[in-house]
Amino acid sequence: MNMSAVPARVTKTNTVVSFRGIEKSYGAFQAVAALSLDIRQGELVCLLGPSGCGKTTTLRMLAGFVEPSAGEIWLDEDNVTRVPAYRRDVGIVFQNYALFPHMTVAKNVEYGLVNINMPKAARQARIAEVLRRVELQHLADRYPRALSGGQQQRVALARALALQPKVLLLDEPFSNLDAQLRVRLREELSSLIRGLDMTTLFVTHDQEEALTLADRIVVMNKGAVEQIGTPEEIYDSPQTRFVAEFIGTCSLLEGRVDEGGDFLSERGLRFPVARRPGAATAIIRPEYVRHAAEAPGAPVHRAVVETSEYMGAATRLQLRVGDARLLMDGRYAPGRRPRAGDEIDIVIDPTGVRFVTDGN
Amino acid sequence: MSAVPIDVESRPGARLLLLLPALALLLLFLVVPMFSVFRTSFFPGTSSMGATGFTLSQYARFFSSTLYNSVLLETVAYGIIVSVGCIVLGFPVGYSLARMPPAKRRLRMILIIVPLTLSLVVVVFGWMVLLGRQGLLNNLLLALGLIEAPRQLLFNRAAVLVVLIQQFLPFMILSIMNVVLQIDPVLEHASTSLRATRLTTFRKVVVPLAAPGIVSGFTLVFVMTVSAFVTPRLIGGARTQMLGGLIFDEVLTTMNWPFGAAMSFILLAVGLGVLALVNMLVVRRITRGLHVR
Repeated sequence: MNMSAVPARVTKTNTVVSFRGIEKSYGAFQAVAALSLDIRQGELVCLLGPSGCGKTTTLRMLAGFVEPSAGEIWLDEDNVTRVPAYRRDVGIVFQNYALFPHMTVAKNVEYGLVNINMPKAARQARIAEVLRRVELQHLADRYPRALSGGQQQRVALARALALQPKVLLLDEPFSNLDAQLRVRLREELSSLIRGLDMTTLFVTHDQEEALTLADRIVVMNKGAVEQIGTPEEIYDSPQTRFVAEFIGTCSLLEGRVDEGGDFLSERGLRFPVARRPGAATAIIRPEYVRHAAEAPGAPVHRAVVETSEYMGAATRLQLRVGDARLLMDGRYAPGRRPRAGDEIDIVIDPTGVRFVTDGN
Repeated sequence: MSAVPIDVESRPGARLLLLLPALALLLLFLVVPMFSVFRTSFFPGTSSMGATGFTLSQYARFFSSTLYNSVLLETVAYGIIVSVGCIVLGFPVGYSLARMPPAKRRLRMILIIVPLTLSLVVVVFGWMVLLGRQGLLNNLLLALGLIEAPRQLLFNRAAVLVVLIQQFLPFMILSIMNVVLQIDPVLEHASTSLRATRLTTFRKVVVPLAAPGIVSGFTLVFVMTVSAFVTPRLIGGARTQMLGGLIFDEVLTTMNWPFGAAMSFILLAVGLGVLALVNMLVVRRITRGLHVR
């Protein structure tokens, strides 16, 4: 994660993109409901959610392909809500890159520059510059079909960046690439965008992509914003049940906090927490469930291993404590991995317990 | 027979076997007769019965006559005008069909194909009823007070062009629709996001990518137009001549087969020449000029 870049960026406060109460309905179906979001200069914001959550519609409204049913979109000082797409200072990289198959790499990049009537000499200089940035100058005369997926993505990026847009939009930028390439290109893209101080909004359904790339994440569900926050906030302090379950893995326990400061789940699991008494839904990430031997002092629970799933570095155990179920990630030496049916003693790290307010 | 697809790439024998029935039919009923007609066009005299010898006199006769030359030119001009007319009228229809959801497209495609199932004679007589002196159009214009006496709307070039375009438009629409179906609509969004107006997107993205379909539509319509003879004869009357009609007369009325054969091959050669030219121009644009500016 690019942690070093974050503090410098936070000091910048000028807003480049502003969604103000944006809504989009198709008949009775509400695709996006009351979305408000400000994106600062140089910030990399991610719209994250399952398919059909409204994230792509939001992106397309900023690009100008979809007109909002209500609300306003501002770009810098201008209300662009009714400005046609071809007059918006917005660059976009499509999921399938959408390179013009009948044009070479250089001509693809030149296309937008011709449309803004840039003189030929300036065009040539700009093409050379952006192709150098994405390290594709040697492929300038190739046609898109002769390029790999990763190269095509860089051409699409160069084509969008050539116009020096105020904001760059990326629609599921890595979904068409294989896993290894995805991680490498993610790093490349991130350093390129940050090097240019480019304000970026990208859409993904992949939480790992969102957590590693974004300065801020907007988690969306069924057209509504569930939570906006930094990756750390989203993962460590989910505000809603949906966010907790969609980002990472967790165990959800319904129950209540009693007068003595203990959480008591409906299924009988009890452990101390720092919270006011009352009904509550507790969220416990698997990494906060530990073997009793590792954390002496905390209340110990006897658990039965129901399943044991080897995931490489860690092993995910599904545990039963009384009637309650808990997930736990453990790291074990070869041959020491618990098996289904084993009984183990565990503790719940109270610093890792979170609560969500919506009890749906 | 096994259910495994036949790998025709590595088995030329299998490929030949698959082609053979169609090939035999074409060879027997197209290529052989055409050779015979080609040979006939070099016979001297006015009959092929028992004719021998070899002469270019039939071709010389054609090209030394201003009448035949102008009919040839006019025929080619009809072909080009009808094809271009079909492109202009057919592109918007083909494009919008391709961009429709398939369920909506199906019904509209039937509407476009239905006229093709009607006999050409029925269609042409329909037009004669519509355009005649006592026809619907004249009555309508009279009723609206736009004209004072019935006009002769038939038997002129414009009427022939309109009827030919009506007949061949479906081929152009289907040809363009098929190629637009292959164009990813996202490309048009990409173009828009790169500051292109609708017109620029149309000129620089849609048309170049649709070019193969436009050319194949042009080819179909051009070939059908230059060889048309029922429509020009019935709608155009005696004053509008197309080569197809003259060949028909020469072969079936005058029974001058050698000259009719020569005219057929002149029409064939000129038609192929025009198509080769169009293909060359478009292919050159695709490989070299389809770039920005």
